Formats: sequence, structure tokens, C-alpha cells
Amino acid sequence: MIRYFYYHVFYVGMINIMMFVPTLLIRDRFHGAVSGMLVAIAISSVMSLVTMACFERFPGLGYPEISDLYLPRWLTKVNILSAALFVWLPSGIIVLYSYAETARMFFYPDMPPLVNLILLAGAAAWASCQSTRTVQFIQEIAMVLITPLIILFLLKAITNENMNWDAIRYVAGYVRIAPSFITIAASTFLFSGYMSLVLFNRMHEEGFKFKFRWVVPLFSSLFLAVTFFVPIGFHGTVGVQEYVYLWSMTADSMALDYGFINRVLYVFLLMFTGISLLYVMNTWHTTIHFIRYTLNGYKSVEETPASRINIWFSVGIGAAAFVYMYFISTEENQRVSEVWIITRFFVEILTVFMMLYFVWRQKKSKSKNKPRAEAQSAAIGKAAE
Amino acid sequence: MIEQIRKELQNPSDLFSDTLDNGIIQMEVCYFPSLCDPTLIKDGLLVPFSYRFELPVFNRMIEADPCFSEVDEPQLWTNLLLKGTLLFKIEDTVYRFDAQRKLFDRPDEVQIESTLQGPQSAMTEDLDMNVSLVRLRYNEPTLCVEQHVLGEASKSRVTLLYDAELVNRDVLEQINIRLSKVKVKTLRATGLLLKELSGRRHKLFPIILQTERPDRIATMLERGKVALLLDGSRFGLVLPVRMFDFMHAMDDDYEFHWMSKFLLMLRYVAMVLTITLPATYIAIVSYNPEVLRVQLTLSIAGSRVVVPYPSFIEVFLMLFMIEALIEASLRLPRSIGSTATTVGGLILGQSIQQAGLVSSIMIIVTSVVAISNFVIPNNGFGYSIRFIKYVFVIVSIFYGLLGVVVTFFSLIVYWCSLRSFGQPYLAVYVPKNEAKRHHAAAKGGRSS
Amino acid sequence: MKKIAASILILGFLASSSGCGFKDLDKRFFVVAMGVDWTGDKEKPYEVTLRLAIPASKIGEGLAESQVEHLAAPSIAEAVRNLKSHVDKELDFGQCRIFLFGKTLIKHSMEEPLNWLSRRRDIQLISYAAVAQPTAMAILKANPATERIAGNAFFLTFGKEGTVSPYTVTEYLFDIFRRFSEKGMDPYFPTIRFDGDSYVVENLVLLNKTKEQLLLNRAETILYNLSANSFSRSGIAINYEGKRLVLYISRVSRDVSITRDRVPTVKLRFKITGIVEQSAVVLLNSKIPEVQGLLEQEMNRTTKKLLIKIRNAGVDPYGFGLHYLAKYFGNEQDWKHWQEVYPQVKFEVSSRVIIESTGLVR
Repeated sequence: MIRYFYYHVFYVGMINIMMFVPTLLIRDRFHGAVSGMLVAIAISSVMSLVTMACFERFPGLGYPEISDLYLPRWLTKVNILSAALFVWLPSGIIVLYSYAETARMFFYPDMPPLVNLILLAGAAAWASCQSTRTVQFIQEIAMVLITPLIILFLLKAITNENMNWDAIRYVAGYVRIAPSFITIAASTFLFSGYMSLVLFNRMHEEGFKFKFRWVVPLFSSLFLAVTFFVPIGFHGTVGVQEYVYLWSMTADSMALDYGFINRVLYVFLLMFTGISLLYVMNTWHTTIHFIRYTLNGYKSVEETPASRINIWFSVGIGAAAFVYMYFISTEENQRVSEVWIITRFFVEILTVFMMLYFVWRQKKSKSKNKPRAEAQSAAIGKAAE
Repeated sequence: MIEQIRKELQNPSDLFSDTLDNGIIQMEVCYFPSLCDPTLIKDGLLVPFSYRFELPVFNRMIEADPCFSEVDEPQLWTNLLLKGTLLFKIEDTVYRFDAQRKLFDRPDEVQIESTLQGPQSAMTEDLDMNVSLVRLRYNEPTLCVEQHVLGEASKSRVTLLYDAELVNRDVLEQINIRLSKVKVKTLRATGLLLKELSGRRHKLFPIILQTERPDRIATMLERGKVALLLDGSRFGLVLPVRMFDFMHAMDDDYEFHWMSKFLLMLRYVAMVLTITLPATYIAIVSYNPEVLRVQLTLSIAGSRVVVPYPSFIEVFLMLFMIEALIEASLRLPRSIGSTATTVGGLILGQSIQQAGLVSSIMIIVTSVVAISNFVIPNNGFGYSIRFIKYVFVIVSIFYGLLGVVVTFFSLIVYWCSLRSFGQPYLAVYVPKNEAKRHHAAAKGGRSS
Repeated sequence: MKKIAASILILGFLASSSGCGFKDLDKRFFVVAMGVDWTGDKEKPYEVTLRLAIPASKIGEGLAESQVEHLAAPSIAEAVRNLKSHVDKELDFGQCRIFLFGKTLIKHSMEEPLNWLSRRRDIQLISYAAVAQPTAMAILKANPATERIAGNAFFLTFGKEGTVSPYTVTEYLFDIFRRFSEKGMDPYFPTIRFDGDSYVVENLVLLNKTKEQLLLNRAETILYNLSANSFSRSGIAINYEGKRLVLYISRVSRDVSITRDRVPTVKLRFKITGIVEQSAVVLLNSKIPEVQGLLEQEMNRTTKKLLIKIRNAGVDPYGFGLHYLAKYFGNEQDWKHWQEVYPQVKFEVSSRVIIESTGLVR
């Protein structure tokens, strides 16, 4: 059931718009964004392929379980808990905040922000407290429903006659400027879909192999190009920096000539309701399960109905989103996202090295201690049956 | 024997009991004429007893015919009698003779899930007939038929059918557990059984399919599902099911491929319409009129000019009307059913719009909602859909269009979180034993 | 019991918190067109005119009813706010798809109106913009005879659904924002006037980054649309053997290249395919190459004239500057250089005309 993994790659590739990645890239468009993106494509392709290869060696095990095999218990616990609280949890909250504000801006600007948040946080929290298996099903159904919109939107954007290719070419010419760090960090975010393996690898069965693994770098690079160049094509090399809701305004620059709806903006917002909720659901779900693992080593993927502890955690996370929104303004949210993007970049690198270390340990213990390794693989086999 | 039975049953007036004498031997007979078939009794018992009677021949008949058997436990007598068995006593031995009156000897006509070119026979209210109908269509030696008796007072027979080779053992296990937990006084309809088996959590959407078509049951058995038949009900239950099964009409299997695929798509579109249209109307009229193109917005605005109250009152008014209309035409005798639709649909719809109480666009919305709802092939699922649209309406009053979209997402979450006997309710494709593998992985993980 | 209490609590909370934003369609006034004029007055320089659609239950030819409100104020934002006190329903700009700027305003400065437009969240970026002759108010007060829905004549004129005229250069709001800030690309507006029963759109106003520089006449407009947007369905007319010959253009493709000399040369190449629409002279096959040559010459001559006229006005609506930067992956130096040499830039136009057929007769 490898296909579920690719859904993660797809929606993370698109959610960057709510993480202010385009804004960061556009800000540096004359100061090393293009070269930064190229560097990021190289780094991330290697990182994603290596991580996928590493996880292939541990079928059915999430990062916490693998970590527990080779590291002392307390270290794993600290690792997992801090990853949950400082990486996974905030990312969901930042995206929820920025989507809630975008939607409020275009759907009902008179509504108080927190009232609007009740709706979105409620839906996301409820989705996130379900079992891992349910979360995967939701993901697939939502992606199936959203994909036509995405295709329509991308076609509309790329084939638009009002898009100015000269502007794109002009900006692309700035590839000669040395890359800036922030654009590298920001661009690697688009590839981060593979990081969902830290939890969702639990769903994989013994002997699974990633088919079509080249899809990950390919699609993410495509999304990266779209996310950076299309706004420039629509708003010009200079005008593009003036927009706060950059991509919403880009979507608003396209018209559907036939149909009930005239503005592509609404297609875009509709699509991003789904994508944002998916992203928030997945990050919060990971948070909940990481916390639960540190509490009692819980690692089941199937649990219906949602257990009470999940519900309480998701309510707590929802409340955290409220607190965050109450104290942080939109501009501050943007700065927080910047900090988060950089933190995530380092955490991701760290994760990749940890995984490499685990694989090395696994290999070593296999060659050194054959009977033990056999017992181990037997255990894995038993686990996956 | 007769005295004892009469005492146990408190001397019922509809019990027939007599001592018959053919000159050679005496026989005590006891049965409920209302439950038994008189011709069967006459041909099977009375004729051999009275004409050219010879004791060895008669004894041989009792021994050889499977309809007869000895009943040596007196406490069973009353139960047997109540099930329509005839009891007779010859020379201090009590025998039974199965002579139940068969109310149905032919398959019923399809009434609810009609098809154009598929089989037109439906199940009857007789269990044995139903089992034979299913066996006729699914003629495999691996088909297992298990009997259960449920209901403290009704003691209804429930039959469990499944293909022993294809069935998912997890599901079977769960059904047996749940069947053993069923505690009801009388089991009058499969709907009751459905509720009992579904459990507390599944109150909004059915997780068991109710069908009157033996061919649907046969197809489901072929896919490794389990069917439950109840005596006295012309519906069978099929489980575990997925949401897609409720949207599947039997015609889809019998008609041309692309046409039936197209109709399937149409049904899903209709389902989405019937769920979201009233809510979208509120959202567009009251929150986000800028979503639609200007010409459309202005025509909606034009039709709403005369309406004196907010959009959601209008929606509730019209939805109430249409629900009342559906309910009325369901309950009315068929001969005057059309009166309700004429008065309600044509006259009222026309004049309510002319009176300016409801906008003409709302009349269209209401009709689309009603028609789309009837497109859903399964009645139980259709009911749930009919109900769920009110949730959307309420959310849209507070949150407009975004509310509708987010509620739809939540509906998907709800559907995905449901399990029909451990199997996912809404998932695109899952291998049959997928759940089991994960359970094992979860239970027998090697770390810790 | 608990559940009922909880749901009542939630509903109560929702009910108390909402109501914000809940406003029925019939309690809103949809602004279908907006106009801004420059009065020249020191105190209240901006005159804002709004055309509000009145929803009617009957729809028919000429039945479109609308209300026009106008007010002068020190700024556009203030004018709109003050206008709210003139109407009994909430103003809604969500359906406003056309913005008209008065002739005087465009001669003064476009800065303020554009700033106001770009800040409003309910303004569609796919709205059309145009320059109104003589004033926006006059255009908005006019009533076209065939309009069925208020403002629809505007949408049909500028949009793709209705008439497609070679004189109409559709300009979207986002494109205006882009052109007002972009390097090496300057804005333009179509002009609109009212001739008594319908709107006429046939001229083009070229601007630099703030105000009007040049007004193109009818012939130039059609040529601009052809050469800049590859707009087909227009025509080329020449005198052939003393009679008028008109070519209907069914397909155009264009190609621009700019040399990297000290003073760059812009080379424009066209490939035009068309049908002879009118010709008093019988066109035999042998004559066709000759006609094609004449058409090519005409095209080259008029286009070059137009390009030089536009260059001399100091504007660049074609975006040659941007194309130059894009082609040579320019940087700030290149941009400075281009700005310096643009007044002397040379043009070369070459075109190929192919007569596909001569219509149903020779």
C-alpha cells in the first residue's frame, strides 16, 4: 500500500503556500532564490531517497520503535517528545492559522478570527484523533476529490495567456547569484512529504518496496517551480512582492469564462480547504501518536472508535491553536514559520543521519550476531503477518 | 398428552385436539389448525391412518419419512406445536409431523429495489423459501448455512449464509459474538436486527446493507460477505459493507459497462447535491454572493426580492414541506397517494412562490434535493443522507460556504472512521486481510 | 442528557458569536461598475460614481434597472464610505467587474485609485479597467438599450463571451497592477464612450508609470492589438488596382527578437494567414503573390510607423524592455542601459502574408 505514501508527498508539495514559502522565495528572487532552489532540489532528492531506502529496512516500524531498538529509552523519549512538540505540532498550527486567515479574508472578513478557527480547528482536531489507518483512508478520499481541482487549477495557471514568460525568464536569469540559506531551507520544505514515514511506516508490510520512487523529487521540483514562477508570471518581477496573500491573488488573476463560478480564487480556496485540513490532520496525528508513544509505548495503527486519550490530546492541541492565534499576529506568524522552516531543515538532516546510523547498526548486528539477527528478522516477520 | 399440553398452553381455544380411532388403533392428535396446512395433514397423516390401515406399514412410514420423528421430551411439545408442528401419540409414543402452513410458495415481486432488466423476484417472508432463492443463485458446495434462534418471545429463526472459502474469518467471529449478545423480546423485522448488530456507535449511517433481492445477496456472497436472513421478513442483511455498496444498483451489473459507470457517477453527484445544495443556497444567499458569476447572482437576488425573511427560514420551510410530502405519500394508501403529490408539489409549490413566501430558486433547490435523494438506490442509506443535510444547513447558517466545505470534509472523516465489522467503511481499495496484518503488527511488535 | 446539553451549549455559543457576515442577498446592493473622475477641485478632487444593480424579478430587454450614486471626496476610500449613507442596503463590491477612470484622472495620476483598488479584498483582480470618455459618470449614467441585467453590457463588451472586436483590448486589473510596476513594460487602457444606445470601445490610451502619454486612434488600436497580442479576426486593407481590397486575418503568429548592439534593434516578424473578404478585382491565382506582397508592405509600413510613434512617446506597452532583459538574462546594468537607449531603439518589421482562400468566389 505504497500509494498512501505518495499522497503525503503531494499534499506537502502544495501546502508550502500556507507556510509562506512563496513569500520567502519571492523576497529573495534577485538575491539567490533560483540557485537556492536548485541546491535544495539536489539536497532534498538525496535526502528523500536515502530516507525512503532506510525505512524500507524497517517495515512496520515507525521512527520511535526503530530508535528504541538502538538508542537508550530515555534518549528516544526525549527525541520523540521534542520532535512532536517543537516540529510536528507547530507546523500544523502555523498552517491552520494562515489558512484560517486567508479563508476569513476572502469569505467573511467581518467574522472574528477565533470564531472562524473553531470550525477549522474542530474539523482538524476531530480528524487527527482517529486511528492511523482511518487517517490514511481520509487522506486518500480527500486527495481523490481534490485532484480534479488541482489539475484544473494548474492547467488554468500554466496555459494562461496572461502569464508573462519574459518575466519568468528574467527572474530565472538570476541563477548566477549565490544561493541564500533561507531559500534553501524553504525550498526543501516542499520535499518534506517523505518525513511522514516516521509515523506512517507503521502501515507498511514486510518486504515492501517503494515503487516509482523518482516521483518524489520529480513532483516536488515541479511544485517548487510552479510555486515560485507562476506568481511572477502573473504579477511581474516587481509587482509580485507587494501582495500579502500572494497565491490567493495569483489565483484571483485567472478567470473561468464558462461555469457557475467566475473566479478561480474560489476553486483555489476550496482546494486549499482540503489540503490544509489534510496537512493539519496529519501533523497533529503524528504529534498525538508520538506523545502517546513516549507515555506508554502505544503503537497500534487501528483503533475504532477513537480512544479517549486521543480525543483529549486533540482537544488540547486545538486549544493550543487558539492560544497561538490569540497571542500571535499574522506578521508574527510569518516570522514563526520562518523559524520553523529552518528548525525543520536541521531536524530533517538529523533524522536522515539517525536513520543511516540505525541502518548501520542493523547491518552490523546482522553480520556479527547471526542468530540474534535471525531472531530479529523472525520477529519482524511475525510482526508483519 | 392432550391434557398436559392444554394445561401448559392454558387451554387455548384455537388448539385442536382429538382422539382418532380407525377401529384398529387409537391415535391422539393435537395441533393448531391455523398454523398447519390441512391438505398436508390429510394427505400425510389422516389418509394413511384411515384407509387400508396396516400397523407395520404405518410404522414403516413413520420411520422412513423425514417429516415424522419421535419426540421423547415432553417439555418440547408446546414449542413444537407453536411452530406449526402436529403431534400425535400412538401406543404411548409421541411423534411429530411437520405440517407448517406455507404462506408463500412463490418468490415475491421486487418492490423497492426495482431493476429494469434484472431478475424481478424478491425474497418472501418465509425463511426456507429465501434460503432456496439464494441457493438457486449461489450454487456452491462451500455455501454454509448456519441456524440461530433469536428473540426471547418471538424465537425467530435467523440464518447465516456465507461461503466458507471466501469469507473473512475475522468478520465471522465478530458476527457470532454480536449475535450471541443480541437481547430482544421480539424480533419483528430485519431493521431491528440491523440496529442490534450495528451497536451503539453506528446511529447515523447503516453499516449493514438491507436488501430484498436474492441476486444481490448472491453477488455479495461471491465477494466473501456474510448474509443474514430472518424468518418473517422479506429482507436480508449483508455485511460487512462499504459505502460504495449502498450506491450500487443491481442494474449496474446487468447493463452496458460505460452506461452503468456513467449512472454510477451520476448517483454520486446526486448524493453530493442532495447533501450540500440547501446549505450552499444559504451560504450563497447570505454570506458569499460574490462566488457565483454576476448574472446568476442578480437573478437569484431578483427572485428573492419579495421574500420577507432570512434565507435559512426559507430553507427550513421548504425542506419541511418536502419531507412532509414524502412522508405523507409513503403513508397514504396507494390509490390516493397521487393526490398528495399533486396538491403538495404542483399547487402548493406554484402558489407559495407566487405569494412571495419562497423564492423560485428555492423551489428549484428543493426539487433537486428531493429528486437527487431518490436516486440513491438503498433506502436506509437514503434516509441517512436525508438526515445529514440538516447538519450542513445548520453549519452553513453560521459559517457560509467554508462551513459547507469543512463539514463535507468532516463527513468524509466520519465515513472513514466507521468500520463495518472491522472492515473499513470508506476506503478505495484495501486487500481483504489488511486489517488483520496490522493488528498483528501492533500486538506482536518486537521492541519494548 | 449530557449530549443534548452540550449541543445546546455549542449552538448557543455559535448563535451568539455569529450573525457577523450573515446578510441576505436582497439586503445588499451589488456594485456592478465603478467610476472615478478627477474634478480638479482642491478640497474634493475625486468623484466616485457607483452603478448599483437593482434586483428585479422580471428580466427582459432594456429592463435592467440600476441606480447611480456619485459623490466627491478628498479620497476614494472616503467617497465610498460616505456613499454608504446614501443607500439603504449594504454596498457589495464582490460583483464589480468594471472600473472606469475618467479622462481627466488619467491625465493627472493613477497612483491613488490603483492603491485603493489593490488594498480592497473584495475587488476581483479579473475585473476590467477602461478609460471613460468624457467622464466615468457620464458613461455610468447612460443606459444601453439592450441591457438585460444591469452592467451586463460592460461584461459582454470586454469579456470573451460576448462580442470579440479587434478594437477592444481587454485589460484586467491584475495586468494593470503588473504593468504599473514592471520593468520594461508599460500600462495601457482601452477607452469607452457612449454613442446614445450602446458603448463604443475603439481607442487605446498608453501610459507611463503614472499618467497618459499617448492616445492611439482606431487604426492604430487595431494594429496594436494585432502586433502586441496576436489578435486575429481583424483585417488589413490596401488599394489594389484602384479598388479597395480587405484581408480578413484568421491566424497571426508573431516573433520578437532584440539584438544586443549598443543601440538594440527590435525585430518583429509576423506570419499572417487570412481570407480575402472584399475585393472588387477578380483575384486569379496568378495575382495572389502580388497581392500578398502588397499586403506585406502595408503591414510592415504601418506597424513600423506605430512602433516609432509609441517609442517617441517614451512608453513601452509591448514589453520590449522586459523581453530584452529576459533574452539576455539581464541584470541592473542592462536595465539601465536599455532605459538610456530606448529613445533611439531601431525597429525592423518583416511579415509574411498568406492568402488562404479568396472566399467563396475568385
